Amino acid sequence: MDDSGTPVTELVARTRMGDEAAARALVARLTPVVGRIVRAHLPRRTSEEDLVQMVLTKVFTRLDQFRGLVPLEHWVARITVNTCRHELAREKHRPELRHADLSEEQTAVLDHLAAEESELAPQQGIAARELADQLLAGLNPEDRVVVTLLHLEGRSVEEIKQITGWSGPLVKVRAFRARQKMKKHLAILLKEHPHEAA
Amino acid sequence: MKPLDDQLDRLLRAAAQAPREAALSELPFTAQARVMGAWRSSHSDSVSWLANWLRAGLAAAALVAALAWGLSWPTLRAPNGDEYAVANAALYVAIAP
Repeated sequence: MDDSGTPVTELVARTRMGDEAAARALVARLTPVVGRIVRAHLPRRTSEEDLVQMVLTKVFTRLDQFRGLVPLEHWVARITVNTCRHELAREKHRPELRHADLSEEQTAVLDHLAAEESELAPQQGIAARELADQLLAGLNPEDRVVVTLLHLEGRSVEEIKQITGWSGPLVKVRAFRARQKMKKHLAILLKEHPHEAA
Repeated sequence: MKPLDDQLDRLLRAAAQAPREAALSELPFTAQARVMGAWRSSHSDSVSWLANWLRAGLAAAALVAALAWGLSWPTLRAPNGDEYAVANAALYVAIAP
């Protein structure tokens, strides 16, 4: 039976009754949702596939706890973000970012930020992403999650509240503190940068 | 806006717009099998929990029934001398002047 068009609520109900085909269809339906979030919050030493599997296992073993008060995707997103956060917390070592470790492209991004007031060119996007990821790696898991959701995924505070389960003020405070830390690291990089030193 | 705020914002905006490799859209067979295995075992756990709960309920109900029957046994076995009492009383009321 092809379940590609079946509403997700029906798949959940059938999965709860023990319908294996529905469970398989639900895995297929949720994998891209989980995959996208995991990609955005992936800890450095964890395999994307392993983390997706870990999240889906949690989702399926806790399916009886889903009350249907929010859409299933929101409930799954919350489990995914929390799992990523726990995995990030297990990475005790937070690498210190040094100017000498930056690639040529990342140095060019710093050059642009220091010398120009314009936006970065689209072709600098990947280097900017790598540099942002390195700045994020220096943050604690909660700060990292909030910056990723707010600035890289463009989510609203309301959405972040739903995904993380944190209050609005807590989201704002964490975002503010995370920005302060990122600014501090960026300032160190810019200070070490030859363009600024000259 | 302070320069550092502006620099960080420009960096984050460029990072947000950067193309990324496509995220995992399909779980490999082995990973899917592990998820299904975990689901099956948790599902059978919950089913067996329900069965155990029903079994315990049934046993408790049977025990209560047996106790009630046991306690009422002497009353049921005792010869009842008053079995015509109601009929007698009715006759007496009807006949009495």
